[in-house]
Amino acid sequence: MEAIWLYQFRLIVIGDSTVGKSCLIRRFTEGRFAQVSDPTVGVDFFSRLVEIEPGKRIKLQIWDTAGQERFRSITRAYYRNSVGGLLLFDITNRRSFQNVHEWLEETKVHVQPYQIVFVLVGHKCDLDTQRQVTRHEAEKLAAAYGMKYIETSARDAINVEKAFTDLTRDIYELVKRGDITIQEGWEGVKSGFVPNVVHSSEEVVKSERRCLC
Amino acid sequence: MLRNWDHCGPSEKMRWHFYKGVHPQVRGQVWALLLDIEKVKSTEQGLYKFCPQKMKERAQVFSKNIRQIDLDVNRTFRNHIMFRDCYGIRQRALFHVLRAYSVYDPEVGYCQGMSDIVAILVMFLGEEDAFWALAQLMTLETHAMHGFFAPGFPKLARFQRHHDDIVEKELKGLKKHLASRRSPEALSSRPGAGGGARRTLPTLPRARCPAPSPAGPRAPSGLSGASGSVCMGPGPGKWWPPAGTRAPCVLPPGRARDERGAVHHQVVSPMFHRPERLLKLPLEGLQGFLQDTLAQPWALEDEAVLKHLRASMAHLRRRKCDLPPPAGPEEFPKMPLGQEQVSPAPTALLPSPTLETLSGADGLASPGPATHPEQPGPLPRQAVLKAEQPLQEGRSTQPLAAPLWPEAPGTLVLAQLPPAQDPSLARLPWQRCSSLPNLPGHQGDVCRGPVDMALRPQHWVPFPLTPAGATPMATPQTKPQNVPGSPGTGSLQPRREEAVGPRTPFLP
Repeated sequence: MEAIWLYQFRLIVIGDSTVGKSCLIRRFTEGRFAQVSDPTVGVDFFSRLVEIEPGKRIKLQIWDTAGQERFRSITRAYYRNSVGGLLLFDITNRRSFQNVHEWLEETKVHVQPYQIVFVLVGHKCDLDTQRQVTRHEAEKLAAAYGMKYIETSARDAINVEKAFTDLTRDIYELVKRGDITIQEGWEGVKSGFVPNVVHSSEEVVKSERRCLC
Repeated sequence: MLRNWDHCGPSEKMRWHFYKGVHPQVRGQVWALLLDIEKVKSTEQGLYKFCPQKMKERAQVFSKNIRQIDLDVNRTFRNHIMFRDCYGIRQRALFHVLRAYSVYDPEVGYCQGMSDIVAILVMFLGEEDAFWALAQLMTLETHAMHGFFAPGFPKLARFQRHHDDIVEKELKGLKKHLASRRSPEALSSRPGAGGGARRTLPTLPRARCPAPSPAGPRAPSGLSGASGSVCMGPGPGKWWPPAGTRAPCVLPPGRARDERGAVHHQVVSPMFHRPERLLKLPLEGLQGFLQDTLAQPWALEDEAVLKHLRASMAHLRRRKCDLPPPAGPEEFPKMPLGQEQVSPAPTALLPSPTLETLSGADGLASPGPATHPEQPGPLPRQAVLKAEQPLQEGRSTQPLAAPLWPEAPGTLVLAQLPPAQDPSLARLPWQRCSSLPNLPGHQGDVCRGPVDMALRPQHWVPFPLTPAGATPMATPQTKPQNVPGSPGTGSLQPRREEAVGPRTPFLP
């Protein structure tokens, strides 16, 4: 049976090679951490249910992408059908932080005409002693692009849940407010399957009302 | 049989042998014979010259590739005993081969996914042979893996289309099911087909990994070697042309051999695993199946698997969809291999926090005379020399600050005959990855191969527990004291379970 969920959001995780994209997702979806993981080649797929409020569950489809530049031709096809994204950099690797601009430019071009909500993630925050990017400058950068910033560690399971659920919650709010609408032919947001149809339509009505007030 | 290869090699009997697998003890030798390595080595030796200036011009490209290679070597097969040690012999061999190839074929350079293939080659072949094996796999018309890795992945796209056609033709129900799951791309598009395929069997034109590897990292262990041999071996119904005789056939042997195998591996997996089962799975289930379940042991004897494989190959052949459409010219190397490319504008080397300047040529390779990319046969290649011979002079002029991935005697070095004359060679600053270690004690270790340790399950070991600080390659300046074998101290981390944990057989 399908699990009951209100919406399905499709998220994409991007960032330079070896910043820990796959490890972060694995920690989130499988709850474990692998010391080494094979390089992601192309795109990988994961999913998990998240309960953002009691009784309100969102299904997250998470696309894990390869960091190597050569694969951009493949991965950029996935921006368009994503509603949210985690943009990772490694706090111990300054270059990955510098490339954040590049990633944002890249997505901006390819996400049209839809929109995508990003959260900037400073990963490997357990390695604080080797930090090359301060929290302050990362926050500044995130603010400049209108993103939230969060520091996570897949190894020590710090903020992993929070990163995903916060992003989910933000998207959920936008959907509720009607800023993001479900569209035919767009995979970013889907409403729940049959058991939820009534529920979700109520939800839409309710949210509209709330907006009007 | 090995001694009398010209006689036995191309036989039908041998072809069937390959399906059963080649014994690990002789696997390397057989691969070398199948790929004509000795011949290439003997004919191409001495043709190339070392040209530091050109190297400098291309150094930025190199540093890019090398950094990526460095990162990936450290995560390739780390749960296998041969690649377990950070900067161990095999890891270094892997690094050297990949680096040499990235110079040799600048069009491909390095692409993620190649490290898996080379790692398998390095397991059974010496460094030098592994390099030529890779070069042959990439360039021979019979394998032409170049198209899988070249930017844009042309060969991959072609196989993708063919895969879609077959699924539409043969697995209509599945196609419909996927469409009803609102994800038509789930199986046929990159993540699906690729994800599953990559981890299943070799020579998969998987999109996820545009590299057909002789054995996917998570291939059922027993099959890996066998399938590798099948892929390199004579194709179904075609003679494997003996060395030197490239009789024109209606179908190039490569298409008969490699591509057909690739198609089968790609399509067989869903077919083999009972499409009706897949029909019941939701999208997540399908993705899980393709990404993970297929990679687990199938709870069947290898022979049974191969029997099914042959049966479905025959089926596809009957339906005339065992071969994808012919390859276009974009799948073959456009630039001459092993030759220096004239860079239009030499770019300045940009220092970066993750790079440090290192003096010394360190065997970075180079270029030689022109070859014709269209020419299907063996191409003129670089001389492969022992490191101790020519480069010593250049090196001795200035001691290496930190010999990164030190070249052991016998290491694959693409260099020139006669030795590099330019003493400034050693003073050229090279941008290299600072995360590479200084391991002077390793100079003596040579990766000679072949070895008899194969992909047997007992050689797959849990990844050693390492502290966070020792997270491989992630941090410049701090590691290198990581002596192989003692990966460090610190808090215990969860083991890597995927590769070694108990597996749930998928098939009843």
